Amino acid sequence: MTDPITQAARALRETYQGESASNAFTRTRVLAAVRKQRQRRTLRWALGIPLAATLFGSVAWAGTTGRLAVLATRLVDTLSWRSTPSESAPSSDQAKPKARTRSRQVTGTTPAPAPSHSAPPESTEQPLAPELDAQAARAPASASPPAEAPARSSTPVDDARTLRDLSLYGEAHDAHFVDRDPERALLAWNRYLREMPKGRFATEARYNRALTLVRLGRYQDAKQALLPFANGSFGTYHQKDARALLDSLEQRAP
Amino acid sequence: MTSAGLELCRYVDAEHERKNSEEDLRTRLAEGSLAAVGEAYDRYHTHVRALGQRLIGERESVEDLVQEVFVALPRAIRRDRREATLKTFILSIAVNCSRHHVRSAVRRRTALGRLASMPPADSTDPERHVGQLELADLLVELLDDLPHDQRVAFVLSDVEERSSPEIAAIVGVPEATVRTRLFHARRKLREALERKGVSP
Repeated sequence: MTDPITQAARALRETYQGESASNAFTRTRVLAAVRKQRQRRTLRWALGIPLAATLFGSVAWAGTTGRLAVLATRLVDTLSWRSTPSESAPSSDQAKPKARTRSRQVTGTTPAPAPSHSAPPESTEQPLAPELDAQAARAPASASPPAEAPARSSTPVDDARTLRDLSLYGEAHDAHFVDRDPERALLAWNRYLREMPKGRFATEARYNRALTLVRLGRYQDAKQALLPFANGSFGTYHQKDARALLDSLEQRAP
Repeated sequence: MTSAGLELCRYVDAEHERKNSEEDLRTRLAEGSLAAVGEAYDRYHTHVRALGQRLIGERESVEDLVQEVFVALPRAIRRDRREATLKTFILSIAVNCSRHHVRSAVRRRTALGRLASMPPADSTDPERHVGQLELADLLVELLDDLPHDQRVAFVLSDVEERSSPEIAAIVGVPEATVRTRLFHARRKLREALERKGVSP
């Protein structure tokens, strides 16, 4: 007698022999599906290649014209501004937005104070002043406003430097505009410019330092400090104010 | 030349022609030719369907499997290393695609009660036909309890009567593995058939 497995296997083989009433229908379905697949692939290429070419061309063009670096810098700046608060220490966190807000106030609305007649006491910043003014005079006419900082990459070192920048600026700003202590303010502005000669707020710091010199009655130093602004070494940044102040100083201390 | 020699020449020529035409078909399939897909379907659909029916144990859902296999063919053939014939390659796609179809069929059978859905017998010898259908049906039911790999090995070997090297090429495992799977499948099926009262 035959093995039951062989018997069952034969039964299964003879029952199912691959015949089907819907063979023709399945063939049509297969061909339609393959055709659709081909159309999708063609469409993908037809869209993908021009898109990739456009992207590649744009990047190449931006790279050649130097705009890519500018865009990358702006992007990095934006990201670093957004990411720094969560990464930094709490004390630095407080300093940064404060200083940023103040910098806007200074650039936009800080009035040029009138020359004061009070005799200023000599301070420790004296030897630094000519050096700073020389730096200011060397600054190019197309110097950008403080908000457009030079290209930086978002490394931890840069983050720490940015925080230091803000902290020093905040300190000087408080002494100048909140405490209204010109001596301390001058020391603080000098310190800022010594540590951050190319800092984010270096231009503002130079202008505010000139104002402090006027307040302290050091008119010659003040003239020297204001001259680059009046000449347009920093573009139009407080150019008119600087000219007006220089005129006023000329009348008082020829 | 003797008639045996002539026969041999004819056989060699036919084989050469088959290989050439298969090579050509492979190339056209890899290029995504619609006509080539149609040609492959016409040549191999019966084999794929029969294997599908025997693996799944029903006719209803096999058309989906057949469609899946031939739609996947142009893409799959571009990755083929041409170690087997086109038929073996297509059957290996069918085996790979069959897993979820088998699983669905087993679920359906469990839920509905398979015997109730059997087609009526229409043979000239109704008793014999019904007996055969019942036996096939019983085997499918028992196959549902086997792991998929053992099920595939058993169907390819005992039902489709393929050799171990061919099964190894279709399934993509060594021959020794095929033989091991077959051994376990047969042992389990024999025990199950004995429990059901089917004995030699």
